[in-house]
Amino acid sequence: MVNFREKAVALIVDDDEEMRHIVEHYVDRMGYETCTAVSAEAALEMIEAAQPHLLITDALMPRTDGRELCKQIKLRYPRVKVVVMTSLYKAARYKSEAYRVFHADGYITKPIDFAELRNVLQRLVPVHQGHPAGERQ
Amino acid sequence: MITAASLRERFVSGLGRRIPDLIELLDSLEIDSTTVDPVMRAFHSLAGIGGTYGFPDVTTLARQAEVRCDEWIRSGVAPVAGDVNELRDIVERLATIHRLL
Repeated sequence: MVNFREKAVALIVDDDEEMRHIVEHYVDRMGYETCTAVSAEAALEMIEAAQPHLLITDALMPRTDGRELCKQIKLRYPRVKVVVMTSLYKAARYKSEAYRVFHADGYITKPIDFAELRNVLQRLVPVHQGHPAGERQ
Repeated sequence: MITAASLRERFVSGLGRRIPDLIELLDSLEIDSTTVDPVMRAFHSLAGIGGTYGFPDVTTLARQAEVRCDEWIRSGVAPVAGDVNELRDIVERLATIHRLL
């Protein structure tokens, strides 16, 4: 029997406290259930418990960066949709790499345009009632 | 409840915390020119959050510094004192913005 959750779950990963806070705020307002992690390592530790449908990660983080996290998540949990965030300055270099090498499902630039983020998230995991909690592998 | 005012307050408080951190990082960079990476990361974070919280001038200044750091890292040329002073000027301008908020 599949356990349905009322909301899709988004795990937000960023080492910057202010960025985590504002992304969590807006993603919550978009209708997703949110949880946060301060690093790629913390995200990997909590993913089994959180069972996210979406993972939104910063690209540039200490130790394991967001692109490597994306690659690991897509290998182990291919149904989790991953959105990579990076600065506009780095975008030209990172965008194609994020899709091609790290298999990201979406890509947004910082500073974040929340209308753009909403469009990306809605395309990947539309907000509606009844998301199977075990949707990831 | 999170409001636009509380988000602004959070950003202003965070910016106030980051400025002395940046000064400390630049002090370290002046002593050891190989410590560009943490300086770049600090400006990178600030460039990302500035515009996200509605302060594009902060992003513009922080990005200038991030680009300079990235040039040093990619070229392998260590910054000299004059280069660090260029970043100090940017931090001073960020501090001025913070005082006016």
